[in-house]
Amino acid sequence: MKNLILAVSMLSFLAAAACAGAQAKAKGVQFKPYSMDGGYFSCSVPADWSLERDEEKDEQYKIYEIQLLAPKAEKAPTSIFVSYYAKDNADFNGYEDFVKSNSSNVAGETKNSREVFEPAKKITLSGRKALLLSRERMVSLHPKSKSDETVQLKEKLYVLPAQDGFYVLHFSAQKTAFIANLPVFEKIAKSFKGKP
Amino acid sequence: MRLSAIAAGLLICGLNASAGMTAPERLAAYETALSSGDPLAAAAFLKDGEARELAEAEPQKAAALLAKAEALKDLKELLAMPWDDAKANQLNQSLSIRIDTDRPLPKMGIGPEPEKLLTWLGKYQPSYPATKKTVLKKAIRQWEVVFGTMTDTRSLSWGQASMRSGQAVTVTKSAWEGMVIRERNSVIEKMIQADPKFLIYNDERLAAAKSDVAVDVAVRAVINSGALTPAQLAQLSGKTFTEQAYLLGNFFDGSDVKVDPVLKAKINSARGSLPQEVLPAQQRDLLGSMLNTAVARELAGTQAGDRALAAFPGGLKIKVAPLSGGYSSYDPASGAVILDSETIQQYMRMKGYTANSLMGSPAQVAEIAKYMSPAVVYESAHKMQADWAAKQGVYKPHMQEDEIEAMSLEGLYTTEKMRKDAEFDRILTSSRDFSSYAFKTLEVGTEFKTGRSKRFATTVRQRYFSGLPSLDAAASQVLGAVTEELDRRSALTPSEKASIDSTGLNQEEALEMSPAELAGSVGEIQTAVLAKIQSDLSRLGVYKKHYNAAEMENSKALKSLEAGAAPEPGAPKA
Repeated sequence: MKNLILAVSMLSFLAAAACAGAQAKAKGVQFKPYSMDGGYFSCSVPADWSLERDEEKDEQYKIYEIQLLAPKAEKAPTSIFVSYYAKDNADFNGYEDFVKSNSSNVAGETKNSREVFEPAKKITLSGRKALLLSRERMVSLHPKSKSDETVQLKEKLYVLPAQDGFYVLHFSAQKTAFIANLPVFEKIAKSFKGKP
Repeated sequence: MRLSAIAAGLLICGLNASAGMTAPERLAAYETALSSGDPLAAAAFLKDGEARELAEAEPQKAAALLAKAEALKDLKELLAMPWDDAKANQLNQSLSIRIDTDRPLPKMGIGPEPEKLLTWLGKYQPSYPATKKTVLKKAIRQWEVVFGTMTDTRSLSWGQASMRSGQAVTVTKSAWEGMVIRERNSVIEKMIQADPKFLIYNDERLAAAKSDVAVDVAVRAVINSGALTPAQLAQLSGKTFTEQAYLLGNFFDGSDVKVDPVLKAKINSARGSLPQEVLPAQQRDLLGSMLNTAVARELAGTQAGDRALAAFPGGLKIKVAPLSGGYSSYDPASGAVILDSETIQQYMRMKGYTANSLMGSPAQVAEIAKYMSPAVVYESAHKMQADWAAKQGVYKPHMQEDEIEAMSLEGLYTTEKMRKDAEFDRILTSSRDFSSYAFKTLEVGTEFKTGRSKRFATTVRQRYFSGLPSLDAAASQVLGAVTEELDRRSALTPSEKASIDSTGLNQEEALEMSPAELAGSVGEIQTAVLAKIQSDLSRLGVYKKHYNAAEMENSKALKSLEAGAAPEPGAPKA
């Protein structure tokens, strides 16, 4: 067991060192403009992040969104969603429903030994009224197997009400990659332009 | 040569129909380009309806082209994901199911030797980031990455073999380079047994080792707490960590050892069951039938639960048995949901229940029913999927879409129960710190509640089941092998064909196979069955319609639940 503890400790140390290296390099990101067809929104997106969109699903759900995936990721992806939820979207009854659902876990808790959901804060983003949600959670990577592998996930969300629906800018990363990639998210948020 | 140049030139320039080439010319160009694994040609072919329609004149050829194009598209998308060193093992799993002897990619020169992927990448994606290429080398288990550059021979001893006895197994670099990823992984699994430093190649084993360390810390804390008697300490002395945890459980059970209840619960949940806590086969059978009624009562009246019950028109069929891989499973042969006996026994250990107390207490059975009911809902979705495929008579391998549907239904159920059933809430929240099943059940509920249907599907694909093929990827894997075999058979004599068809595997047997089994057994399956599978997988709209309908139903259910929810009194629970 001592050898195992030593091996696991060393592996954890090496993983931490690798993460620290990744953070140091995640600067100097180039951006390019993005504009979603249909005029739903536009923003700057990091040039070397991959951009994914499933137009078929967007139409099915009336949720028009892109997902940006960082070139460097941990076991859980470092990802930014920029989403427009149309008024008649399939998932949420308006932005209040979104904010309420995203402000606590399934038990209605805002804090326990593995999760912290900060209260929604009213803010102004690029001259628009918005709400800021922040949370940190330990999540499993294999919920259906007996593996206990988990990661610490940190998330930041901006929710912007609009006349016909609402927008969500959602940044999610493993805690070790959060700080390094946060400036990318903030730059996207600052450049964001949506329907009134 | 000329055709290939035309194809490459036109496709790279993004021109197809507008370039003045006729559909037959484009089709010929696609065939040439796809045979060498050109991903741009694959994307162009998939979008070129006219050329695909033309290809349909020869269904065999059309299916073969489609399989190749889908496989290339899938590979390109897979490699575009943000792979990092920390995800190398995940990428390894994804590649091992795609690059194997019987898959479409090696037929285009991408495998079966894993290093061919690097050659292909150099040719078609020369600007692929160097950092990701490094991850790729680790994912394919390149010799230099696993063993270093200083040696081309590695001797291993495991099991009865030992280096001293001259029975060690030797792996050479050249043999390694001839192995597919699956085979390399098998060798590495053996290495992990001999040397913990190879744990970095198996995320699950590494996590299990870390978990053992956490329990070991708890065991040490109890031993050093001063709460144990000298006799108890003497019993623990010299024992392995697993034995110490077991003995501590015995001490906790038989006497009033005054230690932190959290440490007690941690050790009790992790240790082996004491004899009185083990459910023997007969009692497992009895518990299964008791749970049929108790779980049905639990599910009734919730949106997801009622749908789960509808999947069992003759009543729930639950069995309790040891499962090595997970907390539950669905057995299509018997139509039963199997609940893992160890997960139930762990709950019994946490609560201090014995096999006898459980059998004599309807209240304890009801508690187990509540605890395990999300797993039953999850498996009921797998039953619905199996029943749907049987009714349609289509081949349906296990895919990401199955997990999205099943986990969404479970997430919907957990969300509704947590809101309406205080006892369900109490049982799960009080267990989550000691039971990974309870923790994960609540997590799936939280993911579904916060992300809802569309975002939850992305989470399942990217975080939970990235190693499982999507519908498109699974179809392309099977389609390639089936089409090649049908091509081979078209050249056989009628008597040779009749011989295979008279002794070959029938439809019922073939439809039960996994994609890997099917791809590896195409030579033994009746021709008509292969043609049917080819036809099924060439029409993915039938599958997509089914999965989309289930997704939208789950989405609508939670949306209506939220719309009908009473305003939360005051602030959320803290």
